Amino acid sequence: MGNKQTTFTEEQLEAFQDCTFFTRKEILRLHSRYRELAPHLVPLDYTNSPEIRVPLTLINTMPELKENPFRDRIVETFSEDGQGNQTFNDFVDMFSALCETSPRELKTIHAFKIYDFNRDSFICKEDLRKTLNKLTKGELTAEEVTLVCDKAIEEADLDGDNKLSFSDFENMISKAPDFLRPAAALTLTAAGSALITQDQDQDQDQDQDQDQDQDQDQDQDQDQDPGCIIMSASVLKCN
Amino acid sequence: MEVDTVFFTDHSGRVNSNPLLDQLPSYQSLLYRRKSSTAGPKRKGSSKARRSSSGSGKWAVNTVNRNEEKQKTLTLQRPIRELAKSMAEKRRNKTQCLENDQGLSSWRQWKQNTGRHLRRLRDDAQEWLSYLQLWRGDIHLIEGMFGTGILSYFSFLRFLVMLNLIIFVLVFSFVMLPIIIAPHAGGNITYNQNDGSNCSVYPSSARRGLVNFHEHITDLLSGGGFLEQTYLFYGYYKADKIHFPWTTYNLPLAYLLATVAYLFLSLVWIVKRSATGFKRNLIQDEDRFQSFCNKIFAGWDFCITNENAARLKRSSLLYELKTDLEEERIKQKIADRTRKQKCRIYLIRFILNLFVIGVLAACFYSIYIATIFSQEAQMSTVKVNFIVDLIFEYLPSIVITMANFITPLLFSFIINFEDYSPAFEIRFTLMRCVFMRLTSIGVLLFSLWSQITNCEKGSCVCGYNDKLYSCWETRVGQEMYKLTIFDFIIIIAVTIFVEFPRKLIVNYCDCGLAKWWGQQEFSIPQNVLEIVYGQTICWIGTFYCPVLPAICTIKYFFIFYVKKVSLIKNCRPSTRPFRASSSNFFFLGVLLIGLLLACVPVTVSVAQINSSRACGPFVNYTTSWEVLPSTVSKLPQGIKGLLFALASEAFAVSFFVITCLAMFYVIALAGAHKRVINQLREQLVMEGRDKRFLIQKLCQAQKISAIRSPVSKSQPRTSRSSPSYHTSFSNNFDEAVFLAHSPPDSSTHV
Repeated sequence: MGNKQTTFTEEQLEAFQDCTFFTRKEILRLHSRYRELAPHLVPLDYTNSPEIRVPLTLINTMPELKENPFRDRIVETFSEDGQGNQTFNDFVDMFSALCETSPRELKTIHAFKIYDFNRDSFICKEDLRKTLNKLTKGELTAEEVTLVCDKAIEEADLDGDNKLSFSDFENMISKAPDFLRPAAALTLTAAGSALITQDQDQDQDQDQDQDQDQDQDQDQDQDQDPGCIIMSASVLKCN
Repeated sequence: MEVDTVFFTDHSGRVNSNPLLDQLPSYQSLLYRRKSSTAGPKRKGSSKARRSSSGSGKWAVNTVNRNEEKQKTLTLQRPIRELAKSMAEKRRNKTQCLENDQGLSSWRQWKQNTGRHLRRLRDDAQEWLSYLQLWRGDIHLIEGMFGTGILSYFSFLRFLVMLNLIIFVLVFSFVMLPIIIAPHAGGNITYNQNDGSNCSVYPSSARRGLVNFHEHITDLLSGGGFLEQTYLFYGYYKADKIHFPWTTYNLPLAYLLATVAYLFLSLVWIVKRSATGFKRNLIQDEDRFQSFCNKIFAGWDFCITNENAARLKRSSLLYELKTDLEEERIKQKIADRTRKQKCRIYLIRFILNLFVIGVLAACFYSIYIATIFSQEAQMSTVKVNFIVDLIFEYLPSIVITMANFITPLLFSFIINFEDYSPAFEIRFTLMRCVFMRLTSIGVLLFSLWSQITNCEKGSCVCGYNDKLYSCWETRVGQEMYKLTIFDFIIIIAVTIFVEFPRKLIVNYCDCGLAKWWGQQEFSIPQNVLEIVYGQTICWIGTFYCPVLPAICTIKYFFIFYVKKVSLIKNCRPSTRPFRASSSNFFFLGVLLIGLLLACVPVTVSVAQINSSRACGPFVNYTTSWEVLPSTVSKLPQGIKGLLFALASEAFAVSFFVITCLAMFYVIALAGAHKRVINQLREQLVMEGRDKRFLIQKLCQAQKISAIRSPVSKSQPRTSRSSPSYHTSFSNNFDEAVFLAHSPPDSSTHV
């Protein structure tokens, strides 16, 4: 029967649905995006869970990540080997954590890891300096950079060790109103990419949404409008 | 940089974390964040979903286990997908959950299943409702292209469309619908009697004979002629009571109460919408609280996929950071000002404020003159010319629009000399513009009223000038109607005749003018003021022109598309970012000011000015307000007594006193909370220092014991990547000093 998809087994799809914030359709679409990055590397059939890793450089070509100054760190954070080579599990995990429906706490944890360049579980001044330089691409003078970093640490450091521990960071983020708004930090949704609307052929496969046992199903895709260039319509969730 | 003895660096420059720190309970809680108590029953009933903690460290496992048990009994666990672990671990968790689930009794299973289905139903319903939201796709598109500042403008516009629609439905169903359905439902309408006295003559304004086409246009644009005696204006609602078979419907009372209701509804809705923004603003109680951190960590918009947009975002972030640094410098400069400089600055500010007041006074006076001239021109029977007539009719609107165009430019020019901090400059200019816009409507109304109550022979017999204004409410309604139409025309005209040519010139012409003018930026504050101005007119005008909300709904509907097209085609995103978080609060704040300002004329005209004798529902009453007391006096004794008691001074005073007490209590509570927060903050600093001190001591102790017994140091590194939290942190256990092999120090054992 042409309707059945052959990429994943049912158990795999269920597992994905439970462990991420995506629906079946979106997971399959993610798989096709993943495959697009390296068609010769990634097989169509994932039923036996092959151990394929797509390298960092290819993942960084995705339009959602291409313009992001932290793309390297994001991909590294969500990769098992820490070098940025992502398996499909990592790939899905990354987008799940960054999508709109993932809760603030989860995003805060991952944000902390992303901004911690030297992975010492603290955001020290050096990390801050690197973050700022990535943000502004060296447009600030060194003196201004130092000043800004000092001020930032002064604002957020609660326990007085001149570094930001996770609790400092979390406390600061909880007061940052821009953090969780859709189209704000750490949320990958919304417009701009024309690549993504062409997955029409995948749509026919997943028309029946089977009732899952452990469902936290939030079936919210909006792929009705093929002309709509909202990325989330085909890749990620959208509120 | 200070050398931190707690951490060791290896040659690669990466700092390896001390595994002790990773085993701390505060660290372990990274994985299993305890959700707040408002968490719904989103749970898979698992008794042991938590895996063991980091590799070694039995004591750590024990303590964390104990903590976890405690946590589990206190709260419900989180869904698996909200845990900060890798996919593989989440799947393991899930299979464990499944296994545990089998062991539950059938009652529990049924309960869980029902809970799940209900949840799913609720999620579906929510999703379905969100589909119904107007313009969802458009707004999402705009958000992606231009960011959240402009998004808030468009969602504000959508809010106004909804508000106007609801107001219209309210007014329609209580005022127009009974009149419309009366003939069909067997109702009998009693009209207000023309008692033939002086004041009750209402000459018809319909045009007689052959009417030119352009006269129809004039009528349409000015609300006169054939439009005057229609549902559009107050004067048409002459019905006094409508006698249905089952009840009597008191139309004047309904008219008055509908007015009060729509003002109240608007107030409630706006306050509700701004409550979230206000709470957020309260949290950031200081002016520059956390601004740097916010910009660095939450500044980048992760949705940007366009290279241009990324460049713009970067430059806007840069601009923001530079502005903040500038603010710091200016603060420093202000603190360093000498006395002489201060005097000079204050003098300059005083003079400039006088100048601003002068400009405002001049504008208001010109509006007053224009209104009087326009009214006289309309009253006179000498008609010059179609176009000139139209201009005379629209003269107040034209003057108001021109004043509102010039004054912002003037204000933003002046503020440069007043030497305030940049943030304050922006806010102050905005306040001045808001004041200008909203007060100009007030001046228009005031000049109208001065005309209406201005009789030739001293005081007026009817309370108003009945010769010229036999139905003055309709006239006021017509003025409001004209303002609305003109506003709409101007917005469209500016877009077509100014913004499009500007884009063409800037794109295709390489002259100096193009460079100086630059590409259009979507200025959010000015656009917001525009629509708040329109909405204020709508609120004032609905009493006199009940169909005005519907007209405004249609107007805002079209404005949305006009602005959207203009934005996408003509504008580039602003290099000066408009804070999205505070913008909602700003919009709603200005709207609230507009609402309060709109209440004043309506209240004055309802309560003070005599209603027309010749038209409208309030013919039999002196003022419009009088219908309420007269209705109350006809009520049965019990209710009447209750209402009188509610309106009495005793009740009002005691209500006021109680409200004051409640307010003082809440303020005291807030002060106490602030003190507690400060104390806790200090405590946290102390705890941090304690922790570092203890860890230092511990490391020293370990070093000493390691030196003494080198044999026991060679521990297997097998569990290098601990299964429970696969993060990049776990990769650094190259030279771990595992505590499992030295007896736990009671001082660190929790």
